[in-house]
Amino acid sequence: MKSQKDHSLSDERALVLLAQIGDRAALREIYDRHRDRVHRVVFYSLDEPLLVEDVLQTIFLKIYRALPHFRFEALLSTWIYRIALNECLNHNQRRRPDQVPLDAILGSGEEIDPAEAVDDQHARREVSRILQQAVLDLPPRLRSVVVLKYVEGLSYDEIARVLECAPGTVASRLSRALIQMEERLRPLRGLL
Amino acid sequence: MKCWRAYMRRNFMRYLDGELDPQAATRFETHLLDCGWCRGQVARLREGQRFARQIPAPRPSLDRWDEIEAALEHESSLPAGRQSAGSLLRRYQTMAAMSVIALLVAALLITLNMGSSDNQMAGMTYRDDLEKFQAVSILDLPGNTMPHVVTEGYVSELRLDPDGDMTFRLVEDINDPNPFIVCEIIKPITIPPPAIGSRVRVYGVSRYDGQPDRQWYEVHPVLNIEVVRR
Repeated sequence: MKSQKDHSLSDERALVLLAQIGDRAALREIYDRHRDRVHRVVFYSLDEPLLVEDVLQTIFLKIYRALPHFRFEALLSTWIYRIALNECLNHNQRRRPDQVPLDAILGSGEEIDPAEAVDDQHARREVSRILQQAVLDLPPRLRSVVVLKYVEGLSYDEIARVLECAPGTVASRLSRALIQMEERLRPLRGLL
Repeated sequence: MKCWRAYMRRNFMRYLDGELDPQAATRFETHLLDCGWCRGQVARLREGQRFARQIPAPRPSLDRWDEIEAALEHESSLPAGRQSAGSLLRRYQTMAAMSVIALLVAALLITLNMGSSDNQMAGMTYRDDLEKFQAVSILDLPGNTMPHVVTEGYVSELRLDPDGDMTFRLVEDINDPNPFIVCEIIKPITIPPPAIGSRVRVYGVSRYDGQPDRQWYEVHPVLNIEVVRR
């Protein structure tokens, strides 16, 4: 009897084969299945947050144009992550906006008193914003591994396939990224 | 003082993510008992990991499908002459480069083959070179990742294309048209075409033809053919 994974893989294969001949419903299904993950990766990989939605649209057009050449050598999601990350990298190289350093947003941390938060919802939004900014302040190579590991939940081997590097490189980049995050967020330890 | 044991330092993340085998994890923990620097690093990484696990997963606020679909329709309605000049140029450059490479390979093989009196094979006599081709069955060709393959099957049909190339279909079972692959001998045709119904071993480059009217796997160009059974 086929496992659930086998079924989903053959299901994905059928979907891709249909999409490769331009079946519109299959293209839509691929968009629906992968939109959220592409959005998350773009959100954290692009230096220009206002362009996330536009770049997401560009990425799906690139995916559809390249789909006839997809040869099932990797999972569709791995291939899509790769296209999304490459597009963000190209975009960032074309356009280098001035970045606001995290310190400008966080301050030293001493002036923040959790008791002064207006309400829990506001506090949660602030925590989210601070964490997002801490990720966005990482160098792009370190940012990708953190997002693929802790937002997307990929294993070291899966990340290595997306980034086309060795699993050992993934571990070493993760280690550098987490040390940098710990340094930046240490003053806010009580809040996070 | 920084720990000098690079092997231990490399394993911090694998240890924290539970990716070390039990024996290596025990060795690592024994080292931690003795090494204050590594203990400090692991504590910092654990804290960094705690932060990283809280990173929010943003969701898209807009559904862009309508725009994407409109762009796809616009692209498919463009006549070939109005497609992006850059993309067409790149496509032609790629095709031209591939053709030149294929011709050079064919020319090299023919040159190597000249003068051989004991020619069991149609195109190439160097057994060492042939052994580097990945043996793949017709059924497994879609999962193949190696560029150079050798595959075996029955020749089910043969035709000469208008552009001078010769193609033939290869099937697993002579009585069953599927699964099949298409093998293409590019012009000038220097490899003797196989007889229909014969079982042959075909050496060449594995590729997928994604044209809407094709969608099949190919050995293209064919670099050599060995007749297994006439």
